[in-house]
Amino acid sequence: MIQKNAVARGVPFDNTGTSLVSTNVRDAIIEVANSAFNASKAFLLAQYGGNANVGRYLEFFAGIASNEAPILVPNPYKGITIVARATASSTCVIRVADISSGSPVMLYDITFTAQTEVVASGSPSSPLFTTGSNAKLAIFVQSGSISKPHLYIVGQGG
Amino acid sequence: MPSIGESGFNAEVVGSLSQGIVTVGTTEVEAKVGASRKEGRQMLRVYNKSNSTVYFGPTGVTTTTGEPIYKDQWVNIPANDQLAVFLIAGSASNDVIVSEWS
Repeated sequence: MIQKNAVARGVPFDNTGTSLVSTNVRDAIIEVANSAFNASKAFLLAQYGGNANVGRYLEFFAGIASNEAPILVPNPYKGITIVARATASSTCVIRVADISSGSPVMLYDITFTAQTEVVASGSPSSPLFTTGSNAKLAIFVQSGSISKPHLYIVGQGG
Repeated sequence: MPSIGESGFNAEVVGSLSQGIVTVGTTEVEAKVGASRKEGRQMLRVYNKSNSTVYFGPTGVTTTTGEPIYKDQWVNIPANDQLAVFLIAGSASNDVIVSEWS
C-alpha cells in the first residue's frame, strides 16, 4: 500500500455556504487572497460649493466639473455605499452616471426629499451599482436643487 | 529451517536505512540511494524537498503520466529491490530525499 501525506493542494475544501468556487484548500487560499486584494475600498469625494441646480455637475477635483474631469475606472468599479449631504434641507435627485459614451448613463440616483442627508448602503456582493470597464464617472443634479452638496462613494475595483 | 519443538522465530532483527539526495530533472531518474537499489529493500520513501512538483512511476514516466509528489510532500512505496521506481519533474535541479529500508 502506498502511503502519502496530504498537502493543502490535495485536501478537499467544502465551499458550501461560501462565495468561493474552489474545491481544494490550495485553490481556496489563492482565491481568498485574490478576493481580498480586489476588495480594497476607496472613497470618491464629490462636492459643489454653492447651490446646485438641475444640470450642475459636482466636482471630484476642486473647481472642475466632473463632466470635464470625470473619474476614469479602467476596470469595473462597484459603488457600495453612498453618503450624500447638503448644507440645508433639499429636494432633488443627484445622479451618478457613466459619461464614457458621451451621454450620461445612469448608474445610481440619490433622492433627497426635504433632507440634508441620504445614505444608500449596499455590500460587496450586492453593490449599489457596477460599472463596465473604462467607465467615466460623473455626478450631476438630475432634478430639483441642493445646497452645497457634498458626498462620498465607498467602492471597490476600478 | 527450525525443527519441530524449536521456535521458528528469529529474534535477530536485520534491517537498515539508507538515505540520500536524488536530483530530479526533466529526464527520469531512479529513486534509489547510491548506484543500485538497496539489497533486500522493503520500503522506498521519497520526500520532495524542492520547490517543484516531482512525479513518480515506472520507467518511461512523464509529468503527465506520473503521480505527483508536491513540494514538502512525502510518499512511502513498498517497492522491493526488484522494483524500480522512477522520478521526473518539469524543471531541472529538484532535490528529493530518498530513503530505503531493508
